[in-house]
Amino acid sequence: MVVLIIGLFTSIFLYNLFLTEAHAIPVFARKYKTSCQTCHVAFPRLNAFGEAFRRNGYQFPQIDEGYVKEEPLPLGTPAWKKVWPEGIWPGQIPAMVPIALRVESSYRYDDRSEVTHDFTFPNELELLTGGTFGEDISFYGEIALFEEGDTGKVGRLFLQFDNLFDSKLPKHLLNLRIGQFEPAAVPFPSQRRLTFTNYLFNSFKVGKNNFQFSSAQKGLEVKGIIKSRLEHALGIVNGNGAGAKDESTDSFDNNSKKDIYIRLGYKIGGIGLDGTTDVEIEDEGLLNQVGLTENSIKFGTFGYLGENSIKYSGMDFNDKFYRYGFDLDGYYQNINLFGAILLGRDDNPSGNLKEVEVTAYLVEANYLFLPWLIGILRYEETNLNPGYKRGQVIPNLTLLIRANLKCILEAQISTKDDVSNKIFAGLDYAF
Amino acid sequence: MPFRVLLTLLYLTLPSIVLAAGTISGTITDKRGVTVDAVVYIEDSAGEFAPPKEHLVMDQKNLAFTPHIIPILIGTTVDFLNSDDILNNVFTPSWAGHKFNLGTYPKGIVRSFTFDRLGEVVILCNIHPEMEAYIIILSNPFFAVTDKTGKFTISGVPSGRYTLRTWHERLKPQTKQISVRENNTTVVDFELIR
Repeated sequence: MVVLIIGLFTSIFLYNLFLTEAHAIPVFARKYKTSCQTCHVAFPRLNAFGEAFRRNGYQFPQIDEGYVKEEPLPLGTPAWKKVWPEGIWPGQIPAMVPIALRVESSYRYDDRSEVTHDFTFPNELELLTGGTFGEDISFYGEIALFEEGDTGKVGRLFLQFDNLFDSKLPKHLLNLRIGQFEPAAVPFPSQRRLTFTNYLFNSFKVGKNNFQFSSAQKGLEVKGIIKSRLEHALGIVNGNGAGAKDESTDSFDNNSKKDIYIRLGYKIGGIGLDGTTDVEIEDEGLLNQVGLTENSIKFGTFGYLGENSIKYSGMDFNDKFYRYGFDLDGYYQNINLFGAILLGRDDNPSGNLKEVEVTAYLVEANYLFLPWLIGILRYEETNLNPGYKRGQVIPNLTLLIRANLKCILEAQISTKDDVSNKIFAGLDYAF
Repeated sequence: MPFRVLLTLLYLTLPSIVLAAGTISGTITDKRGVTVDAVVYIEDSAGEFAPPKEHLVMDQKNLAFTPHIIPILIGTTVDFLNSDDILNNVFTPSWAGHKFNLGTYPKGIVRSFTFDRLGEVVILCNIHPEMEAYIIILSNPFFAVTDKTGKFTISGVPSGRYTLRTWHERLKPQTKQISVRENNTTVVDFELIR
């Protein structure tokens, strides 16, 4: 059965591979009339330029204006800048409603589930939006219209004020993000992974505390780049994810304490974190792409300090916790190797006043066989002491049928005997 | 001494040679209206023609190659300039371009290539798949590209009978037999189809 279904997906892939060109393109592709490959190795994983585009508030890093092919709608002419403060500073909105959709579907085999074979067509339908209100004010949103049976869940939705005080300070030094977003402390956000399987590293929970490292959080974040190579971020968030409002307290947070986090990173080689392009790449073949051909290495360190109030089985208790760690992201030729180690401690995650030590790490290699064929191998492990030890190996083959349509073949192999192993064969597309 | 005489005679006769040349002009249309960026060229002109010493320039600006189409005489060198603030690449999968890959380079850098094979060369950027341009390498200098109104003019064509041919990236080529007479303009229109 598994072989039959994987064979079916392979046939669909080969059939589509040689058919007509794809026309579907999401929000930024429409705005700039450029292919997904400008920013992505394969969506949603960003290449080096895509990272610079994201860091710069979804604008081209140097002068954005010339690259915009879809003329925005002006909210006041530029001359109104001279009238300020007697008038409103002129802005812009996208001429077309900036909305894109992403659909994720898969066949899933689970060796321990009561339902061994399952079609999830679709598993997720996501609405994506993003753009700018003129220069240096950006917005981004990601709303799960349908996800594993749930409907209408806001993932990320934020405003970003870019290049603050750039008349006095260097460009890219300070950006302010306000809204619901994944904290910049997270080295490899789940939203930009290529695999169906989420990073264990980001998604584990300790005791009854629902905190997950990569969850979207409500709050503020200041971040930026110093001299093209050093990234910094400092944030303050509710710390309890993107859950619904608690009617009893009339609040989204479960306590008055706010979580804080920090991140520092430094990149050597390749294009700058702000997109500066002083490098030249001598190409020999057609395989080369920025992001997988630049030879670079980025080191990072992060820290997160939080506290959650937990209500469980009539108990009401607090869990103070911290996470810190180091990460590394390197590109050499067509290989991208990245990994991270996370350490931490929760002082009372289960309401029994017992501390839990946390150790987690991940390492993943992406190899670009061809621009449309990527092989992935990931190993990760999470240890809670006292508690469980869990590990998984994720081999994956991602085939881009079109720039916006990919076929994924993946296995999720647990290193523990009592946890199920899974196989996925799926399609993921955006338009 | 005989060489100088020959040179003097050449200078004296040059204006008459130019005057003896004719012009071909016309309009190219297709189902949608006027056809922009179509190449029109004489297929069968005898003689040897030296390529220009000056290099032609194909720029990369705002994620587009400009101009989109360049017809050139065989042996011409084209400079590929990057005027974008971001990295761009230049490569071709075409045989006539020796399947070159000039690399990925930043703003202000120029890399050159001399085209020594006849044919069509598609120019691509391997990090921005929407970027595309064409260089058409021809055996004589009697060619033109249609403007925004679909019009073309080929001047200085020696008198004679020729085959006039079209090239367009999406439309089928057409040929027409024409006669060019000195000091006259031969009008030739084409209606291209897919």
